[in-house]
Amino acid sequence: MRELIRLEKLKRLYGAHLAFEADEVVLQPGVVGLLGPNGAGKSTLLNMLMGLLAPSAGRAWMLGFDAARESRKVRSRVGYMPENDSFVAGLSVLQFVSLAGELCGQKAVDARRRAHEVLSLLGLEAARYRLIEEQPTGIRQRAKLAQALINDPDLVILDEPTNGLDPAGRSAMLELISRLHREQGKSILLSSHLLGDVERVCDSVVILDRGRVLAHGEVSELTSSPANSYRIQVTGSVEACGKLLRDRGVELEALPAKAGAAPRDYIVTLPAGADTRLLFEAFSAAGGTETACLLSGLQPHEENLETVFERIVAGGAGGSMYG
Amino acid sequence: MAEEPLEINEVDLLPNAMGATVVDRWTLSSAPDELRAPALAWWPVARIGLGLVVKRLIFKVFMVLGLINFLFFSAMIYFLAGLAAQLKGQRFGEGPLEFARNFIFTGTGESYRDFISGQNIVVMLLLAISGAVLVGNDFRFRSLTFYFSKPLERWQYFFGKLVATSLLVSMLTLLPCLALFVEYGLFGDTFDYFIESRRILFGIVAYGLLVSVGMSILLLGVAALLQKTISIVMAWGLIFIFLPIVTEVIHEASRGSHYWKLLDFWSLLQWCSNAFFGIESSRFSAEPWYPIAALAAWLGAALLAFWRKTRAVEVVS
Repeated sequence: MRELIRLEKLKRLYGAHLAFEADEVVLQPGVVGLLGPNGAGKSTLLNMLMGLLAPSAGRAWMLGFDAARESRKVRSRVGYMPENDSFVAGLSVLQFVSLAGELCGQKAVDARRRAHEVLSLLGLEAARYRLIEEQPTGIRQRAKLAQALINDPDLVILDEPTNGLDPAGRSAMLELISRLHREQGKSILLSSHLLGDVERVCDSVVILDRGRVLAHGEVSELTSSPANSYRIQVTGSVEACGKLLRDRGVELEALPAKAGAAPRDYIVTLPAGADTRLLFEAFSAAGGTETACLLSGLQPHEENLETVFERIVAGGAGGSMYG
Repeated sequence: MAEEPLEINEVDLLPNAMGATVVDRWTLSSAPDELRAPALAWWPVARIGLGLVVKRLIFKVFMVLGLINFLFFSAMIYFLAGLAAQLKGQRFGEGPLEFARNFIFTGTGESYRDFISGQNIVVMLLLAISGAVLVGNDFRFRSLTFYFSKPLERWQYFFGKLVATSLLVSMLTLLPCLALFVEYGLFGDTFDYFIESRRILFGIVAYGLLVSVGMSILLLGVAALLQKTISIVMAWGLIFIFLPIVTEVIHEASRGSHYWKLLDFWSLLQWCSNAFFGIESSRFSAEPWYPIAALAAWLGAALLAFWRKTRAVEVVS
């Protein structure tokens, strides 16, 4: 199967500022989430993938085409839905979507026919002859999606597609995205800071922060919890019982805490065959010491994208989990 | 028993159709295989740009204004041709006819140059008003993000906008002037006018194209920089009204130094038109390469402004 995206030692600098850097990243077709806080380098990466920004070093391929040298081929096979409204003022929804088709090389008649189809598909029949800039957010978002689908792209890039939508509209948009992949076979690159959206529709994610790819992989892999793993909350320093826990073969990982505060939350993984009694014994043994810490919470550890994201971003550049 | 035929549209009211939702209509045919040549990607940009201006009321108003001038000249040619036919052979006929010809429309290079120059005023006003629609709004409404996410190169976007604007200007200058030329030639006794006036025809086409393309490039640069109509109108006023007045004053004060005239876009166009039509003029007698260089500088600055503004646009804001 053809790779969706391949990055090789890709780097982009703005003066001395590092905007993006990735050693080697390979993404397979599917629904891929691009996650990262503001300034993480998502836009820079998308620009380089679309061939609109030259990399300072390294290369990027999208759908097998060199993004810098074969930018035109890339853009003719990709549909892009921008985050911000980007319309041609004065056009109706139908004219706007038809124009997108013509810009992709379709003849005017074909583009118009196809625009009618796509607009019907997205439930925009009633709005098709109305001026696009006068439409409510939900319709404008779907119109942006329609123009991205007009050329029957292999890959659809969606930048914050649920921005400004009410809960019902958001849910409908996510359902639409899922169906685009499931029933139309489109690969999707979803750039978002809404972790719930990404987790709901994406098969895999790329997590970015401060211009670096911190992690990438299948969502199921990233959020899988080791067996016999628990999340504990402690009062006091865990160092007192840390040795006791390690001596009993328990793995200990501190979760990010507020700046300046000692960690309170930990993930512990018990050795095979052990159960939570092991923890109680360890904390009881440490209970008599001066630096005692108390176990104040215990629950099975279940990862979701939000906890993974927080952990990885808090871990910083050194916290790469994959690749 | 045979079923009764359904009334027209009754099928739409069947229970199954009532339950249809967006989800049920999940069909999409594949995109057409036959595509336009990539080099022609500028055409939709031009067509849409032109369409956006043409459907506005303000365009119709200026077209009517431009047509009034054209119809006046056209009617005068017709009137003179009729008058000439009626006075032919009469004793005192040639005198009044010559007077009328010299006064109204002579069919010489000067006539056509003056016609286009007259139309330039309307063109200037039209472009000032429609610059935001043609170009400025693409920056204000982030249309460039949309355009450049498609397989469209920057030069194709520029060329599309240039064609749209040039066609708009040509509709008021080059095309009516060519119509006048044909009309004047057809009303002559023979078709010799067309053969003898090849230089005039060249002048019309060359001057018409220069006005169309030159003013369009200037508009693209100004509109890309300023974007809003009021700002474009003010800059346009500066270039086409204020600068000519200032340079004229300085020209007079400096005892006829022609170099100040290089700042005046109208004077540069006038110089070029004289060159195209082969008209001698003492109003502007600088070295030939001076006005050419000045015109190139004006247009180069506009191109640079446009290029820099479009280069700064990224696909993700």
